[in-house]
Amino acid sequence: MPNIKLQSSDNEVFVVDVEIAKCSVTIKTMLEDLGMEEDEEEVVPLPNVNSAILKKVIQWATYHKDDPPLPEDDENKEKRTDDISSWDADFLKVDQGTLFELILAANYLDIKGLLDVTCKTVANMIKGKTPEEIRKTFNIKNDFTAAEEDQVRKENEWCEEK
Amino acid sequence: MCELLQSVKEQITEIENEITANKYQLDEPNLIDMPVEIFLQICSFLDAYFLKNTLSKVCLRFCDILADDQLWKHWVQNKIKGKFPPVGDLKKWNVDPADWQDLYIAMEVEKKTWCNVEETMKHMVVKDVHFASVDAVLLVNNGELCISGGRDRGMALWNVSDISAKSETNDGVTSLTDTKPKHLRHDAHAGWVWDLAADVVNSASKVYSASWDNTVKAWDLATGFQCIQTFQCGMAALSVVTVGSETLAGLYSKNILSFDLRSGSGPIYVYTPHKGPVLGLDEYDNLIASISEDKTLAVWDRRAGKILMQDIKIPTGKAYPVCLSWGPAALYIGDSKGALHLFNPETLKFVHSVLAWPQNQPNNTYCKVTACHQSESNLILCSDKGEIKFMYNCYPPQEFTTVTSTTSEVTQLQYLNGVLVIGTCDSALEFWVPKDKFP
Amino acid sequence: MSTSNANRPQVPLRQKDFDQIWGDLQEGIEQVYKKQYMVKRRYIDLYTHVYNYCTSVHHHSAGSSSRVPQNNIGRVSYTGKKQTGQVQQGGAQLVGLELYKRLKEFLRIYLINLLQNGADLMGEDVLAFYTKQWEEYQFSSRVLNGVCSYLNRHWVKRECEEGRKGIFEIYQLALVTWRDNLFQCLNKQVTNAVLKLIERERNGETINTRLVSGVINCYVALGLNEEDPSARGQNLAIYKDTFEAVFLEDTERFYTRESTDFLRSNPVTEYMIKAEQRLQEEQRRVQVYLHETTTERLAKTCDRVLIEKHLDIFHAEFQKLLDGDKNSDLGRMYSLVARIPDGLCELRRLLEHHIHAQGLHALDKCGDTAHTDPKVYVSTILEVHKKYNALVLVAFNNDSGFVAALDKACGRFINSNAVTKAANSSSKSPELLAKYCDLLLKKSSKNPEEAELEDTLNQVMVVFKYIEDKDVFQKFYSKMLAKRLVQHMSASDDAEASMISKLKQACGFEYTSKLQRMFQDIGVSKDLNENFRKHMANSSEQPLHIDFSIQVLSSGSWPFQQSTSFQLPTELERSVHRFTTFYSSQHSGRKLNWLYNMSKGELLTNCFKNRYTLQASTFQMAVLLQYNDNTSWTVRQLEQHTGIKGDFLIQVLQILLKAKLLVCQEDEAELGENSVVDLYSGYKNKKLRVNINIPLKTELKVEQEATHKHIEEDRKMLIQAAIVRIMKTRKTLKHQHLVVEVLNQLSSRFKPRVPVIKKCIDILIEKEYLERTEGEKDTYSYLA
Repeated sequence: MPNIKLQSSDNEVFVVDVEIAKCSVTIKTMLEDLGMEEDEEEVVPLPNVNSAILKKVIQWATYHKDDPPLPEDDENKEKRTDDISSWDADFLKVDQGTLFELILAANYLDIKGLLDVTCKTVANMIKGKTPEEIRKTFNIKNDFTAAEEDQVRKENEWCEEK
Repeated sequence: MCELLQSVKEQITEIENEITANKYQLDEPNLIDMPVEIFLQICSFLDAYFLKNTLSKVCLRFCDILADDQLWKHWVQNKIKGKFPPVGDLKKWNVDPADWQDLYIAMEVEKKTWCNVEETMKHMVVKDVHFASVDAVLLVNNGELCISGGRDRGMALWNVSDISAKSETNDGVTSLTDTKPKHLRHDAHAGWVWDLAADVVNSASKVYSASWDNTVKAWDLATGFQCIQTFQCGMAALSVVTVGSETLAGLYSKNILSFDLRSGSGPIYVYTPHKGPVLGLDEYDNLIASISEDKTLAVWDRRAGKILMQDIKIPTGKAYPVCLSWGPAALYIGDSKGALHLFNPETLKFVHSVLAWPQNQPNNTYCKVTACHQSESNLILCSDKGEIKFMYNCYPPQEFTTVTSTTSEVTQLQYLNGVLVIGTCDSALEFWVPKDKFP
Repeated sequence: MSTSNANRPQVPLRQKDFDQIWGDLQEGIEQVYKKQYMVKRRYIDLYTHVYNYCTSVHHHSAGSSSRVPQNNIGRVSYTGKKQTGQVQQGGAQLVGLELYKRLKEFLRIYLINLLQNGADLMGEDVLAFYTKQWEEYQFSSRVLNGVCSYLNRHWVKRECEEGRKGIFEIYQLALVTWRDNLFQCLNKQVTNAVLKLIERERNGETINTRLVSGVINCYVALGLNEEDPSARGQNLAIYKDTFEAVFLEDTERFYTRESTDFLRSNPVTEYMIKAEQRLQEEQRRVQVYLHETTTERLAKTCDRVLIEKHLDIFHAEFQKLLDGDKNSDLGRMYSLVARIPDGLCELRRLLEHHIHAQGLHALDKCGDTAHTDPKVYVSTILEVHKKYNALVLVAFNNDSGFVAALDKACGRFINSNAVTKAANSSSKSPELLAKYCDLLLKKSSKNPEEAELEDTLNQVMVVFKYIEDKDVFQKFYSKMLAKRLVQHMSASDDAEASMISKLKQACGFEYTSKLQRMFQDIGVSKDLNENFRKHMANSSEQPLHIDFSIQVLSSGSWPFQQSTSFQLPTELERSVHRFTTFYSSQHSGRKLNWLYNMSKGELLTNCFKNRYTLQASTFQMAVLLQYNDNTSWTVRQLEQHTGIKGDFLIQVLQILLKAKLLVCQEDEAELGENSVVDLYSGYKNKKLRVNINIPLKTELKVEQEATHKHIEEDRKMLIQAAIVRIMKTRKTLKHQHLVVEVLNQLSSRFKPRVPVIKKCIDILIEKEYLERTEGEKDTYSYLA
């Protein structure tokens, strides 16, 4: 198996099996566009991913390298969030910062499976919470003005009456 | 202008200050600074209702993204594979465009409800009150009250919460044989009770019943379900509808009569838009549509006091029209061989027909579409084979689930505020009551 | 600046920043289009630029969330009422439009510059330019597409899903831009150059086909489905409109001229070779450098110009080729004309006509021999069939239409020709064929080898297939088979069985059931004789002094009639009696009828100089045995003693007189009751074993007439049975339909004549199987 060298934003180089690296559609497309020579010495820099995250991404891709391709999105299929595998769930037991970095990395590298499962994890963190609880969970500042707040409150009351 | 610029400048300074203050935050990405496409992907795993009522209330940015009508339109169009709205180029849509957010939420709520009917709904079959086919059902007052009428010539008034309270908490169908209606009129009519209508759906005080005994009767809900007027029709009354203070009755002869409680038992006017029995009536925007065995559709303009259109052919072939539903998005007519005919609700031009129930193999039997209910987003049809179809109100109607009743023939259907009731040929009524509204 | 939001720590990208990104991106893209080698680092850099742009520029120009208080409140208390008709730049808008516009503009300018280099080129130069640039552009655009994949994945995808027109994935955008800027300006020159090149190749020059295929590939790739960019599958509109249509016109012009010129100065056979070669060339042309969908239309065009236009010449030539037996030319013409829809009809018609004429001619040429010699008749037919069967098989590819023409022609000349006309009956053919079978199967010195015989029988079946009156054949065949069996004249049991099974295969079980029974009877009789002999040997009764053997034939299966009156000579009576007793002891209840006319025996003479063995019929024996008692009898006396009726007896006597065993004073022809017939004691013959058993003339004649009469009767029965069968299932039927069905059902046996069918219907109405349906003209109903 030929390898490829991936370099994180903080200049750490990872030697990865090409087939695993191709989990990333971005890398796959690049190799197709530029051609891939055997025993490639050229380092591929990934300026948007730091070494800690790249390591996790490679770990995830290695575990999932033999997964069947994901089906096309079907809007009518009910989107579930309770179908995360236990390996993925364990894998994603990380702090919020890392979780969102993983999302960004998955998006940047175009790894659909990883993006899906991380977004699901975030959705699960949001589900069933009140706006205030969500703000707390994600450290979001309530930036509505008092007047807007008031409006929201009134509307909610109206909703409840209904 | 200057003020605006000033305010912008201030804000920029504010931001820049914050950036320096929140250096840490910059390094640690958070939900709030995900790109829109990522935020939307997270949203795709959440309920639309939750997005509207909770997530968008978290902060301005979320509010801003989730208030985007284009986004909801995009989601609606990705959800349905048909054309929505079913009829293009309606005046109504230009004046009062669709609220894509509400549409999307309604579609999603309906789909989630009926695809998981066992979890979301209590299903009750009420037997042994009527003793013949229940041909007419009516829901009023946000689904809290139900009126039924049947071939036993009787009528009953039901408290939906009473029925719901009797249901066992476990899943599946509850069969109720000892439920007493709030009021029961055994001899409401001297003939089959064929159709029902209320004066104001969500705050009804009077209910009208059409019967084969050549009368339409008015019943007072406030004073214990008493008959307060009997309108003489001189011919079997097959359908009844109210508009304003008027009550219109479609007769077995080709006439349609209009009554007003204030003018006694005689009709205030009569018109004859058909060449055969009038099988169904529906009202929309002060216009009354009627369908007839002569396979035509006619429209009466109540304000102008004249027939606006008549002799509009319904392409039923060998079948005849059975039921109709007229709403702002579409006018639907169901026929006796399983087809649903779509008309432009404004011009009343025929648009398309679809087969809701294909011919049954191997005996080539047909399914009759016995009733049709539409909202802006959804469409419910029932048949004389006991099936109830739930669809998106698009063209062609896109079915997302079918619920099977316990009966072989559904005679009529009413859907109001989440409560579904059907009449059945087994002398019963079946209720589906949302668990969260009627715990 | 819109996103002045406390919750958005990221710096919104300003125009300045975007320009910076674009600056580097543009540099990179230029590098791509200059085909400079790109390292992966650079590729990822460009990708990252696009990514950063798309993910960090929020609401670049939209003012949707500007903090105007009312607007904000309106938004929070959002009720869905929008300003009529106004599409708002919503908060969920993705980022990409600005970048997309710049990319589009970049490509446009790049191509406009490129065009300047190629605008004045002509001929092969323009092709070389166009194909080279196209190939490179394609490659570069693919790289650009990869670099922009984040834009494609989100912004473009969303735009397309929302139905925005004129937004494409970047690669598609590159193609559209090429089409609108380069292709639009150059396509006429390019297409013309391609056509010139193709014409040169048609004229025998060698060309650089890569120039052509390069252009074609480009035209195909430019066929974009703008209405539905996500639609899979190609839209070949550009290729079809700009190239294929003109190319086909050109082709038509070229070959119209060429074929007309060539035919003017060359024979048709030469032309056909040329046309064949041209068609192959054109087919190859598509494979080598055109799009596969052109195959059919190009072939059609060539077919039309090269073949269809000259069909009349072909037809005229076809007859000549048939007359000259030019099989390979015929084959070539077939494969050419077969390309034209319905083109073969005329050839089939001509072939059928020709074979029919050849068949008639061949039989005519045989003259009288064919009438009398079944072998000549059948082999003449077979020769014609064999010749044209081979032609159809080889030259006409066994085309079902030509097989049908052959069958039709053979059917026609076999059932109606000089021989049948002379006999005034179409039944002559089956009769001769049956006789031919008899010749083959009867013991004779000329019997062929087994393998050869089998082969010949197969050939008989070929002719049999064409025989209309298969029932006539059956009658004659069964008669002759019966004789062969009874007289032990069969050459081979295997051959007989094989022939019966062939007939069974051709006509079904019913057709051969009687033949099979006959065959079985003979086998059974062999055992029976064996048993009888044993029985006699063990019997205490006096042994018979006569070697006696019998054959028991089940009645109904054999075409024999019982003989006229006859008194068995006493010499034979005992044998007959013994056998009858034996037989009824074995099979009680069966009645034996003796077919004396089919029986024969041998007489040993003691009255002549030599001891002769006479092989004689039973009747002859009866007469000759009388001369044991007396050497002179009158005819009447003989009649009394033998029980043979007068006329018949006279015929028997005539043969004996002819054989010079008996003599009479009177002329043979004038024998009367009182004529005296004496034994001729001076009888002499070179052979000691003499066969005097010659069939009687009347016997033969009666037999043949009876056969024909039987056939008519049998046919009526078959027709009636068919009618009843049909009516039973149909209940009611129009006359016309009934007749058609009857004809259908019986076609494998014979061709019923319509008047006969009518007659049969009448008979059935009389018998109350059918009735005329009341009130409906010409309709019958079945009476159960």
